[in-house]
Amino acid sequence: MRRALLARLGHGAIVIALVVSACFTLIRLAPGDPFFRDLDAARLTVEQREAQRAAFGYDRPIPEQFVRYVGQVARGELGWSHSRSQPVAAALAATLPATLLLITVATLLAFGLGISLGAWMGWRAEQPLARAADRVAVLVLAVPEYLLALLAVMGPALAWGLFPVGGMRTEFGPRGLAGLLDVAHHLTLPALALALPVAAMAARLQRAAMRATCDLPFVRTARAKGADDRIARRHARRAALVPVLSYAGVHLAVAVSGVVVIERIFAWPGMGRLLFEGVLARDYPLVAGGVLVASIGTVLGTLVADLALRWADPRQRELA
Amino acid sequence: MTRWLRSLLLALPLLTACDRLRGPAGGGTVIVSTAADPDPFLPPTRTSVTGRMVSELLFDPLVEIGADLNPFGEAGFVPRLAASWWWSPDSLALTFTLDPDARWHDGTPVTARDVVTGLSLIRDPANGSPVAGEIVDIDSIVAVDDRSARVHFHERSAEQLYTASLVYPMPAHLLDSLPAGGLATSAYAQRPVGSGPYRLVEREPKVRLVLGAVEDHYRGRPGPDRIALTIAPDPATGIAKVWAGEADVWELLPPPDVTAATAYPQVRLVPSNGWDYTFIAFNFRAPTDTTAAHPLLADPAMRVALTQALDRAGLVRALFDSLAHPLLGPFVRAQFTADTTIAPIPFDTLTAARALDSLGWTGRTRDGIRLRDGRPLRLRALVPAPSANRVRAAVLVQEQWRRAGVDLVIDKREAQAFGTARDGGDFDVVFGGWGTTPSVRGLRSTWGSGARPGWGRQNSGRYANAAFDSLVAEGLANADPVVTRDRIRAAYRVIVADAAAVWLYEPVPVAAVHRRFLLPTWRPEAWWRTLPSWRLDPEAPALARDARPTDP
Repeated sequence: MRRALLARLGHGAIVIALVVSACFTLIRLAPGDPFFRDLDAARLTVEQREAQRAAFGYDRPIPEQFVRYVGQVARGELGWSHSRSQPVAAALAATLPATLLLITVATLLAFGLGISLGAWMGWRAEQPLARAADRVAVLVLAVPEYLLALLAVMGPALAWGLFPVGGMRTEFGPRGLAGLLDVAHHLTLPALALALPVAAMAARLQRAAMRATCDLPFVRTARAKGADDRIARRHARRAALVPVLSYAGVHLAVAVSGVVVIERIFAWPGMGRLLFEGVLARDYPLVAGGVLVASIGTVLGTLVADLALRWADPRQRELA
Repeated sequence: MTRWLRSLLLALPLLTACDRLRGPAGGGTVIVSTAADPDPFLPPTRTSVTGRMVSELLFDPLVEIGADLNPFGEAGFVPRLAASWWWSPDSLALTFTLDPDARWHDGTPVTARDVVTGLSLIRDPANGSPVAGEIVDIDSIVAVDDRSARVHFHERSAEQLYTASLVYPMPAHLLDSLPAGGLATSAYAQRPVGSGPYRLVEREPKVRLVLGAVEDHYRGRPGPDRIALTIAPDPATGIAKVWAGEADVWELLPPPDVTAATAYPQVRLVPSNGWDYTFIAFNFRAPTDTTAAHPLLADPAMRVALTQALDRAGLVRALFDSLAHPLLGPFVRAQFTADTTIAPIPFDTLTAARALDSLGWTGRTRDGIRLRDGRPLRLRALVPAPSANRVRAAVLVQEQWRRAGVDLVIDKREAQAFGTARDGGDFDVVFGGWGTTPSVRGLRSTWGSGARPGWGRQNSGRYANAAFDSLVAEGLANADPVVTRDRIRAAYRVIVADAAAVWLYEPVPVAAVHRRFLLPTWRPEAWWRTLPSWRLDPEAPALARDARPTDP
């Protein structure tokens, strides 16, 4: 087990190194640089641009810049964010908690709701209500994430006034416990917009797996031994978790990219937005630092998903 | 409804509000919703409109242009940090006497040394100051004594005082020890100490920025206790915040939202004059070799024909309804030098067709595109993807030119890729735009040729006409505002007759403002300059955020 874990971590480190070096190079090959102004703003003179590029070492060859960057990272420095006028580490520290909060709440909501609903839909597959729930899940899946988010802003937030339009807290709003409730109020719509499509997918996977598991010998044996419906369903549900947990691993890998749209529409001050704006601004150090943190998060997330898979399906332990 | 009647109706609530300005004292919190982060917002390095807003609330200039927005001479200029000024006999030096009560937010008096520091920060190339190109007429600034700073100019010009107003004093006691190019990454840039009516209280980059009133400001305490910028990267969300009452101001509403505003009775619409203009610049040089003339567009007959083939008035109506004017030339109507008598090249498809025939484009493809020697009449248009208006305009122009037999290929690019291609001259036509100021010196870099030092830096199409350059130079060198205006207007006529570009539109900005504020006159070029005079309407219900802050 320990050897397998170390091997996974080793693979993860290689993935992180490859992703960061690819991003480091590609962003420098894209047109423009961090000193580009607004679309129609006065341009820098050649002298100014060269002086600025030299001040940050961007006039050096890319391999030389990369070696210097690796040295910086080894010393715990991630550089200076040009677009935010602050150290990259401070920018990440300011935005990472907001993204973690959003992703964690949305993921728990998505898989909690999806697994429960899917298990029930699979177990009661012939009931009209279960079939209707399945149709609703398909409908939710068909709606693009950004459209769901825009509908949430226009309906529950703007038209009905039930939730704030955007941001993470009310400007000059309450603090303390009331402040936490205020954050929760602001979190509701973005978390739902992020969670619902994932929940629908998880529910459909869980439903299909549950239906397949119901007829497996171990469930029939449990019933033959006198286990009641609740016990038999619990046995079946754990075995049916495998595809959903595999999907969870994939979901965690793409969560950061999915959160970009939600953070932008809801003005949520998270890392997805930071990375997106960093790329547009060609903020080289910010993009490299953000990708580094995001890829570490992705590797750790998929590792957790794999461990959960091994817990749910003992056959996976033998395969490892 | 005509655009003027509509504008008047929109402005009525504002005019009636002005009469009630003598209400009780200020207070309250103004939340400005915006899609753009203000950073950088220090006067030497600011680039965006939002950056200008924050910097002009945090810092005072020496003098400020008056409400008539005449940048020539000194009539109408308002004292700020400088209480008075006088000219040397040869008009090549201007001495400012600083207000003895002016203080930095840390309590240190503002001195002449701070004016010198302001100039050196602009001049340091590693700081990348966009102001540097605007103050090339200034030779040096010297501190005569603690309270007097003298600005020396290379040559006399109509805009000497305006030029000097661009050099903001910066606190020498905090900045003189900075290494070259160190301004952006300094601790000072994180927590600037200014001289304006507001000081920085809090800043979360790309999220929010809060300014608090300076109680003992030398010009008097400003009205609102706090001004907060809340940044929503998606404009739809930013505007929705104003509709929902979560914010008080959105500066520039898109036309559909102007109509939608009627559903939100707490919101007042404030129309003003625009300072931005959009055009289609022709490339005078070959995209593949900028030393060679463009094979099609170097010919004035082709440029005129392409202009005649466009129904600009219809295009502006389709894009903005009545919320934009067809552009008359490289200026906006709000500028002191604007000339509304200029006759534009008319929309005339018959004459355009005849001209294209006479140029040899007589054949046709099956799609109706003109041919000459077997080659289609095809142009590549560079369009910035982030500008929804320009993308829509490009589609409309494409259709109108198609009817004239011209195939326009739209090359839509994200901002940086657009900027790189535009600056490299890699296009046939470019959908460009400029933000203007009351000054006309921008003409030197935007439309002036590179034949003169410092000119033509932003002239993407490489338009060059010695007569235009001479008229602009003569106008700027003359000390008489009337002569200057005449020369500049003559230069406009030259460039319009040359068909250097298709002059498209200048939008009429409409802002949304919460009705609980009584507004003074709206400064079209910088509305935030009157923010310190905003007052809460005693008859309107106050909001929780208007409570006087305990820790402003």
